[in-house]
Amino acid sequence: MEWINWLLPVLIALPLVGGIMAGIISSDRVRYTLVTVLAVLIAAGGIGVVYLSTQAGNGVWSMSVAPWMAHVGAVLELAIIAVILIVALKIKNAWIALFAILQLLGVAGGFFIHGDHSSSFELFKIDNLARIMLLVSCCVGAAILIFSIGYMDNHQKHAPEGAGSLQRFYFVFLSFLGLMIGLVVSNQLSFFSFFWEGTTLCSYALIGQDGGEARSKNAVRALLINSFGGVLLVLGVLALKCQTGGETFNELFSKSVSNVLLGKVDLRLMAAVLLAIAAFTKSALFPFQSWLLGAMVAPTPVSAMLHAATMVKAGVYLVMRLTPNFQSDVRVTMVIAFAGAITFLGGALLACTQSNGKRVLAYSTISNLGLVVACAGINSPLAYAAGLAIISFHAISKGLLFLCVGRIEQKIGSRDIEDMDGLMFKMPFTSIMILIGMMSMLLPPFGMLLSKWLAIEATMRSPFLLVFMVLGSALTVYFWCKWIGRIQHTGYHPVLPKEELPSTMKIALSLLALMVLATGVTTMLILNKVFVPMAENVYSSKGLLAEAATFPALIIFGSVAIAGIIHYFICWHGFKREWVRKPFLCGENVSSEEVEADSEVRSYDFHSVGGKIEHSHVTNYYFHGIINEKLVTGCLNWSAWLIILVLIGNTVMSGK
Amino acid sequence: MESIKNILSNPWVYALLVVVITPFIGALLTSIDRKLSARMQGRIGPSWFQPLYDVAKLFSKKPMALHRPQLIYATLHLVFMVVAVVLLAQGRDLLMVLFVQAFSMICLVLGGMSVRSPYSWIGSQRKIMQMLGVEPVFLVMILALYLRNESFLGSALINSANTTPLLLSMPLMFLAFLCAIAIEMEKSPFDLSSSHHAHQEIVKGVTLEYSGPFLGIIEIAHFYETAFFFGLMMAFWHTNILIGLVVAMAGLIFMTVLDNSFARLTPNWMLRFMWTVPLSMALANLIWLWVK
Repeated sequence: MEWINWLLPVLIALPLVGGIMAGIISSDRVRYTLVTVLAVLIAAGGIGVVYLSTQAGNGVWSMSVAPWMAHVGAVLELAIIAVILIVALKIKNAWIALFAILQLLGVAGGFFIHGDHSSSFELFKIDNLARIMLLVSCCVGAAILIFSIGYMDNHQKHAPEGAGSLQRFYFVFLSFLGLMIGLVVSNQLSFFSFFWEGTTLCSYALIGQDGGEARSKNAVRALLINSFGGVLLVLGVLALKCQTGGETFNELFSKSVSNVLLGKVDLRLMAAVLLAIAAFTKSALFPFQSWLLGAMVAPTPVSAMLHAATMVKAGVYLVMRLTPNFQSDVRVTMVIAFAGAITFLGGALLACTQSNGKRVLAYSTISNLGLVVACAGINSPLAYAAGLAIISFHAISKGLLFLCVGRIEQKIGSRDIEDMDGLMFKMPFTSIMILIGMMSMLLPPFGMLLSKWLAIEATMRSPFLLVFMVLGSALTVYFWCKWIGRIQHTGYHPVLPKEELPSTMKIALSLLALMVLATGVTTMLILNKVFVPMAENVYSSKGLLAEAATFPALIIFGSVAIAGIIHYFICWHGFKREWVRKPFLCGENVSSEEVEADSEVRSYDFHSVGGKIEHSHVTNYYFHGIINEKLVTGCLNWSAWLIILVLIGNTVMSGK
Repeated sequence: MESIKNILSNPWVYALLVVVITPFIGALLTSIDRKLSARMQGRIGPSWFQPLYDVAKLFSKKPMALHRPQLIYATLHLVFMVVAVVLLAQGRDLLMVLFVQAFSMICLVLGGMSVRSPYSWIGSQRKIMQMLGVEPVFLVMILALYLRNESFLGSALINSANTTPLLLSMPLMFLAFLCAIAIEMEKSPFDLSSSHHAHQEIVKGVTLEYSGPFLGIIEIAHFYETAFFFGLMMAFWHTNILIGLVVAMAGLIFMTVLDNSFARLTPNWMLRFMWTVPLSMALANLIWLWVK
């Protein structure tokens, strides 16, 4: 008996059982201890599973189970859809109910298709892609869990009327993590659907955590859009079953199965495309992005966990899993790439127009997810490696950023970027953390920039796709730059104050920042030793990074380090108080006596005509009056629907 | 002779030489620009060494600053610009060279945004708008180079078997590139974020709050930048260095003329212009190469 055969089920069950326990326990202190222990166990277990699974022959570990387990999966799936149906009836939403009934019919219909129910099948399978997702979910998830202790403690004290209890929160939050782990290792599609629907349900519960009309409306929207995706998923599985009789990813990808065509439609490809569109809903690609934006009303750990680091990654994970197996269907994968690319550009464009920090993060997440889908759709090994890299680097950086924004919001009571003025002085620790996070999104040689570099180099296969990539990439720099500038916009302070924050938050933020820095410094190594071999494995091609491997990490690091040392001694350490001047303004600067005498007067105010004290205030540029968010969203949604139609049309036509 | 060649072929010696010589080339180009402007305005103009004197004088001044982080960005601006120049001279991956150069610009922007000065802040806002305008054109240009040489490496261009000068296969790209350089080098009508004359509406814009040695650092970075773009313009006639020089010099003169004959326009106009005219020209050229 191998270790991993029980370690993996334990790893999935651990958060689920832990969630139930956290839901029962009424003492806050005991619950927090439990959550801490679970976080450590999950991280350790995740790393353990990943390590053990690499020991299996040819790097792919799988667990076969008896045939009757397929029925267990189907029952679980039916049960979770039934729960969604009950929720739909409770909130009296006809559409969600309709989608749930359709799903029920789909799953039930599956029972009537005669499949192969006598042989054992592979229930769990861990390949390279699953390993990356496991590491991301477990490690980033654990850090977010630890952060949530300090955050939720504070949050609950100021929670609005009608907010859910902490028991409810941790029950759903922990279960979610278990479901997510199950999702990435499942090979059997009934189990996969069960975990998929489970994350949808958890997402609904967590968005509505704080109660209130706006929140529940957003929660319902999330459930609605994801149920629609669920219907597509069930239909896809049904199509696959009709075609092959089996319902694991193996059948979906096996090319040996003779193509039973329904009319002219290649059902196996149809199944894959339906799954891909379902993935679009989960990853909040245009036109399904609205639920992710609405989801930002949830407490911050929820945003960080579900809507940046893990759940939305489930969608891109599925697309990454699908496309390499359909390389010959270039027309279909290219359309998928376009669906991703338009999201990349649209997300970046809309992020530039937002001043709400969480919405900027949401749009940037959408944009990056689009980039991953585009990479998957380009279907070249280099792009695939870039996609893997973006999934991992983005999860760490975005997890950190969301947590920082949550912390800032609790402290200054606003999530508006303009209100984060001079944060460097007010909250030095958090500011440095958020700066690390943001710098890692655009600074060479951090992972995000390098992955974008690979992605653009790989896009050469289609110049039309390239336009989207190039514009999106320029816009990305724009909105990060504005935000960084706002945070570090301060006057002179001889010493920075010490920031008080709960130790759990400090630990979680430091952990994530360490991960960002460590992966940042070793990015090229990780790309060369991990992601590229994985991509070469999937596409069985070699020598992919021959050119890119000339990346001059040594020159960049070397020069920055030398300059940093010189700078430290001359400008930082040798900095003298008498060097300091006041900024140049439209008149004479106010004197320090005036600042001390009146708390309304700031050190950067100035005297205008007649000695009147004026205050200068400047804001970032948000393209107000030029880009209308509603209009642009409408156009993008319309184009995205068109792309989806083209995708389906292409699939229908491909079976001749 | 042979031994000198050997020493020069050592990558470290080569890189060091590039680092040392480039600012002087940049200073020379700057003084050509200033001389020419002066003549167009009916003045005699400064001495050929004036840019160097200026920088030397800046370093003799008393250091003044608003706060510490501001200075970090000046250093980073210079460092990344030097790295970009070295990478370009070594013929590395051009896309990466571009990213490093862009980050150098971002450092300048962040330095301008870190201080409580409204002029500097507005200058920075305009500077990122300028970057938004030029980045797509640069990216498309490098991708067009890839289509032509099947490689992103700068060295591949020099070693490629294709002996047609770039200008002949990418004429539209060259025009778009000139617009982009005019923006990066702050030439009218695009000198929005900082101009060479401190009498515009936002005074000296993004570099307003730097003075003395720290402004000197930024000036040196500007020399590197000028030489960087001059080198890129020369690459458009890569088969013959002399003609390359003529092409690049023509580009430089064009920009000086542009600078002296246009009034400053607004950032929004600049962005709209860049994303329509030069970007379409660059894309048209890209498609042209792709179809070929």
